Amino acid sequence: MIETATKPNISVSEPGSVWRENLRTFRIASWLGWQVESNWADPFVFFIFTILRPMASALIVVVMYNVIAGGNKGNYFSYLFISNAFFVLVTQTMAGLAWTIFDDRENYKMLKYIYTSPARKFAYLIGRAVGKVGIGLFTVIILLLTGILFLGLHIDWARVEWGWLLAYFVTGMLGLGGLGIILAGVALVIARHGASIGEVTAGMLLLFCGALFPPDVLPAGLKQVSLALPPTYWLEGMRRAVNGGIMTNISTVNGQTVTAPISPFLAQFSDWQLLGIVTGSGILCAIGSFLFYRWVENQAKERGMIDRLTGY
Amino acid sequence: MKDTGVKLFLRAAIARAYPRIWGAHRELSWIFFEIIVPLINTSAFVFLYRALGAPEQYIGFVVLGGAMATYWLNVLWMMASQLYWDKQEGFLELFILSPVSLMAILLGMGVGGLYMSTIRAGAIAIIGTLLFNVQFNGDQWGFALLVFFVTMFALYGLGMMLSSVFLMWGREAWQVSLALTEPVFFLSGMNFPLSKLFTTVPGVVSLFSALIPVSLGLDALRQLLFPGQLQGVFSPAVELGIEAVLGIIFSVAAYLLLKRMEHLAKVEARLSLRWQ
Repeated sequence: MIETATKPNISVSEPGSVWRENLRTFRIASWLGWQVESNWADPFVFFIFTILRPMASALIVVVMYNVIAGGNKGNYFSYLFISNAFFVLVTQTMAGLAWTIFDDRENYKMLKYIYTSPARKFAYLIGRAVGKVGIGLFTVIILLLTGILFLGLHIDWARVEWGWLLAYFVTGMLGLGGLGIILAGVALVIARHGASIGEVTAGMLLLFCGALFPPDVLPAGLKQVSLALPPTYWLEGMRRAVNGGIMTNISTVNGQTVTAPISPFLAQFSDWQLLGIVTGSGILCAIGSFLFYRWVENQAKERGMIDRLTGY
Repeated sequence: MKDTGVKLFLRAAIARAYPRIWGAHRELSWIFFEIIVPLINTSAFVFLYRALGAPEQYIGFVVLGGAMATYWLNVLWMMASQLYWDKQEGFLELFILSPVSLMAILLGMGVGGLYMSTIRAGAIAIIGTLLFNVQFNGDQWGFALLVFFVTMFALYGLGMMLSSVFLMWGREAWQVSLALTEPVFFLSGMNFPLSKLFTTVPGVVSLFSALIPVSLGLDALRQLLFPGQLQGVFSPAVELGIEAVLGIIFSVAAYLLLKRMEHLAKVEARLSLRWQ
């Protein structure tokens, strides 16, 4: 007797199924990203390796500051340390998203299989980077705690503006994520440098987005570049929220004590204006990155770049 | 007649150095990424010193540190972790199957890498000097050159030693390379005088720092090129001696470790094990 084949139950047009698929892909990709990041060592070794790099970066700027300013931990020290700590998130988010493409395509050679599966590619990309962003957030907290406990960083918890901190964090991550997805798109269609493009961009932002010094210090042309970058405003917002207001420096001019903002240019913006800039640029980056990635993905498919190996 | 012994060793070393020397000129985008990007990082630290109102010689220290950082990155990513990459790409098996010594391969990588890094470091030093108006003192250039070459001998010896250790590792190799980037920049005083670090950290950290060839080598170079402008950890002559001893120790250790690790990797079947 011939058995009748059962038709597979594929519910492509069910209402909400697209969102469910996106969420499922995101969840599985997040788990996968976390495993790739963490399961090469036991938790203690993993913890040490996670904080070693950002801690060393923080110590470099602490020693540089101490060499010049001595033991006097003024407000500029807080500016430097807080910015440097939050800059970890810039690196982790942007480099993490771009690295995903290189890692899956050229290292594990899995990207072609992801593309031939029903997984939602955009949700997969974001989910895959969640592990790195989570590690980045954890590192920021560890850095700030280390700064407070051992390195002379002063944060007045009563002055921290938690609402602003949350608002800046969420909107800023939207923008950083968008920029990271754009980099991931670029990594998809360039040869050889896909691995380093995230780190390279983050390195450039170290100069331009006021992580180590206020944009006012830069020469005129470079200052304009700095002011055109959303992370410059995001970092200023995060600093203000943690400090409970605009960061100021106290100096002595002609025998008189003068208090002035560390960045006079950024001090011109009110909190709401700053949040407006961070939110506006974040939405723009998110929408732009979605459209850009869709376009670049099609280009990669047309040119046969999804499974291309260029590493050497 | 086929080459054997020293001739084969040298031919293998030249063959491995060849793609690096040739590649240093051929791939223009590499030149951009490896000169402009470190230069931008160096510039960030220059502007930090300017924002702090540091004396001008500190700008020179940072530019020189930025140039020397290129060598450390080369040793880390293109020496130490190279055998790991070769394993991932499937070349390591071919090296082992061929009649050449892995030491010859490492020597070739070192010579090629040194040439490649010198082009990048030279460009960073020249552009940085012109951009930030750094004033070097060339009175002791011969001594400085000697210190530089001995430092490179020690540094690439360390790279060869590390690569033998990395032979055993899987994904740990990648993580260790990442973890040795900024911490070594910190421990070797790339952006500040080493003596300041030695006076602020515990003795054991100073000892660890002194074992990294870039640390004392860079300190000696700064003393020779910026005479009287900083307090060195030791005199340049003493630091030269320490570098020479380190170079010999690292080179011998690299040879012994390579033999041991190659054997262990075969026993544990790790030579062709990927993605672990």
